[in-house]
Amino acid sequence: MKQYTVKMLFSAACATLVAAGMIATMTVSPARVEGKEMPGTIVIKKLKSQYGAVTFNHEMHASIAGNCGTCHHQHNDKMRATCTECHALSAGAFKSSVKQGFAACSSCHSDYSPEMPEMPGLKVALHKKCFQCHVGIGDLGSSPGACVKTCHAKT
Amino acid sequence: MSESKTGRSTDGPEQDAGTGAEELPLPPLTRRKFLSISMLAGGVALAAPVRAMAQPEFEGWPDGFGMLTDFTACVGCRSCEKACNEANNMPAPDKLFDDGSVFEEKRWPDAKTYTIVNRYDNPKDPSKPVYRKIQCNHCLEPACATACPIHAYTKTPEGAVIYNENLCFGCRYCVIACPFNIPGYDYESALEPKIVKCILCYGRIKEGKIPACAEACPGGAITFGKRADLLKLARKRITDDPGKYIDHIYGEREVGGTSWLYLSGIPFEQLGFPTNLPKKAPIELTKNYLSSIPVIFTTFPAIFGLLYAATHGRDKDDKKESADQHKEVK
Repeated sequence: MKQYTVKMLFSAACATLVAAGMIATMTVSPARVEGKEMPGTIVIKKLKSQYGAVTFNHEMHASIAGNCGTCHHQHNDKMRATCTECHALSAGAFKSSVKQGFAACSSCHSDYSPEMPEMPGLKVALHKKCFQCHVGIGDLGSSPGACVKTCHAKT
Repeated sequence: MSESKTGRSTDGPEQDAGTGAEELPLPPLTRRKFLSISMLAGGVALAAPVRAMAQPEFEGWPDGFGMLTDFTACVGCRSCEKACNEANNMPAPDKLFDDGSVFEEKRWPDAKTYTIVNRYDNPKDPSKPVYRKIQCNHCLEPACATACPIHAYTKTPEGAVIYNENLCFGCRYCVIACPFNIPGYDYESALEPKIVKCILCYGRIKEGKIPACAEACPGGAITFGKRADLLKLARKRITDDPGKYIDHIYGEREVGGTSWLYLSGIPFEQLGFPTNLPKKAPIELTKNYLSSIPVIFTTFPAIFGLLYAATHGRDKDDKKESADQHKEVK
């Protein structure tokens, strides 16, 4: 029988809390692409009061990107995180998270901390992924007005 | 001894007038004392600048904060300008912050704006212009603080260069001294003149928050953290993607180092950065000289006072002797 250390239990508790936070700040509609379960449309509400809620069509973006790794990077670079820091500890939860493909961005990218400048906060992590393709499309990258035209209700 | 003294002194005072202390026919005891005192004073005067030179160069407060602006990540959204304006209760801008027409000219921070963003052509990809954010660089050894005659400026251990606008009397020495031409001057009030510049959101840092522009930046172009950590991060970014970046962290060494650091994909001179700045802080050029001033003020009066006393005393003796001789002749 595997012994659970305090650190492992703490990590599990954190992961559960983050997952709970995700449910509270995002609305996810599931979809299936090539037999894999994944979010369909996501409504990001975290900064709703400032910029309005942002509706992100995950399914459409996934089909354009063609590869989950285009945006989700945790398995293809030298991250320091161990498996259990993102995937839940219990066998069932681990299986489910692996089946779903990827952990939520906010599992690692939460509020920015100056103690870890190499780890972008959730806002920056999400925007970097958008800018990866969207800069040069429409006005984004040439006019500040593009934020509203592209995603946001207000700036 | 007494013969030689009498013999030299009768050669006449006109001959000695412009020949300096060495050739003055002083009484041996007075001369020896004078030389020993002046050598001692000279030694002290020389030792002070040597001591100043021996001081190691100041490389900033060890845990000082800084900022890293990565121009390759900036999309010109002007969120930083807006956040800065709101956080510092600055006057409303002439054009709204979502107006891109401001990029048609090159702007500069002034008394109404701590920071602005300018647009530059990108020679690598004309469809993706480069944006440069400009604000105070918070030098490790700020020239503005050195130049300010009333010490209105302070380089805080947190990294921010702040100033007391109540002390400022409008001399504008800091405006001239700043190698980056940053402090803006409020010309609108003749009675209460003041200098205006970015203070790295010092109040927010003290509250444990991060500066408003860094918090607002959506693209990760402005990163707040310990300067030492940001240098490591900047080096890692260059190493991981050498094709994307110019191999230079602007602010690491310029004018002795600045708390604000920059990474760019195109040469810094193409973004209007001064690239001819010395690697040492301006104060390095003057501190040896300036440190000798207190010594000069204390020792020089003593040296010249002694010199005067010695020559004056001898003149008196001469006059007395010549008067005695006149009497004898009569």
